[in-house]
This record gives sequence, structure tokens and C-alpha cells, in this order.
Amino acid sequence: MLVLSRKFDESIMIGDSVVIKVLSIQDGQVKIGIEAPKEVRILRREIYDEIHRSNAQAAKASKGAAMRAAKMLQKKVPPGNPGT
Amino acid sequence: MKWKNRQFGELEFDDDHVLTFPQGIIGFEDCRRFILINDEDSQPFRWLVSIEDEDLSFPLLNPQLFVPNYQAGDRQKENSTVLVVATLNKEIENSTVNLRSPVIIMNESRTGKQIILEQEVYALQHPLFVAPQSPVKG
Repeated sequence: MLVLSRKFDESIMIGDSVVIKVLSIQDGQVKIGIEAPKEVRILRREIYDEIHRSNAQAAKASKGAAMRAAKMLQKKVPPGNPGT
Repeated sequence: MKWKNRQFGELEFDDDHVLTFPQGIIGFEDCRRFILINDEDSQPFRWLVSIEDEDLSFPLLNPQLFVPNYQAGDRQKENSTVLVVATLNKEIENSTVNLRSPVIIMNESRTGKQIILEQEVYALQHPLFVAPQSPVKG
């Protein structure tokens, strides 16, 4: 891993089109501004990890399990969602 | 075109049914080509089946089954199909769907993407089944 030190208001460029700037440093928290083309996916690492885990688990599904779940879904289709 | 999947066996389909996911599925970025199949036995599940890895398939569901007015953000364009990935648990009643990062398929260009919604309105682990009022053991 490349390690660089940056102060408040300083930036890092990655390639020609990604700029990362330190916007503020306060109480052990760094606020970072990112400029990047639309097609570049920018994510908090922990969210990526969580979705990765969830997808990996999903990929293990057997058709048999889905058939059982399908049966249960038909029995009790949730009537709307109170949670939203 | 023909493809053999571990679960669904031999599949035969037209080339123009192939869906391209330029960025793959999150965590599976190397797999970019899929087909979407409707398996009669397990409907309403649909399956996103990799045609590069014979072990890889994802069960998908229509999010409207869980949230009637589900909106996949402003990136939900016309003529697109929005589906969510189901995670089937060993204890089937604990299974969940990921409403936070839907799979969007553009029907015309036959491309797809798993996006992540910025706002945390929808849960990453939304229960597949509404929990009963009093838990039943057994």
C-alpha cells in the first residue's frame, strides 16, 4: 500500500480523473471530498464488505431451498410493509 | 448457446439473452456474463446464472413482494427490471432479501448492474418472511 501524508486542504490525484481532498480533520475524524467520473463506484468499505458477504451467502442457495422458500412465500405473502 | 450449470443442468439460450454486467456482482467482479432464468419449480424466484462459472447463480426476487412502492433510486430508468438478491438461510424462515443493493437490468442494452442505494431506507437484510407475532419453536 502506498502511504502519503496530507494536511488539511491538500489533495491526492489518482489517474487523471480522481481527486481526493482532505476537507476537515476533527476529533479523530477526517472528512474527505472525492471527485470522480460517474462510472467510478465509490463506497464505504464496510458496506462493500457486508454486501459481498450477503452475495456470497446468496450464491450458496440451492434450488431445493428456494423451492421451500417459494412455498412459504405463497402461504404468507406479506400484506404490504409496515416498515417503510 | 449452451451452458451447463451445476444446479440447473444443461441450459440452451439465444445469444441475445445474455446479460452483461460490466462491473460484475459485488464481490464477484470477475463474472460478467449471466442469463436470467425463470425456474418453474421455484417461482417467484428468478435466477441470475453465470455463464462463466458453472457453480454460480443468485436467487432473485421482485422487491415489490416486500415493499409495494419499492424505488431503486433515481437510477431506476424506464424499461428496466429491478430485482433483489435473496439470501436463503439454513433455517429457511430466517432468510433475507437485500433491498439495499438491487440488481438493475436494462432491458434494451441487456446490461445489468448491482447498485447500492445511498439512502439507508431499505435494509440489507430484510426478512423474507414477516416474523410471526409469537415465535414458534420446533
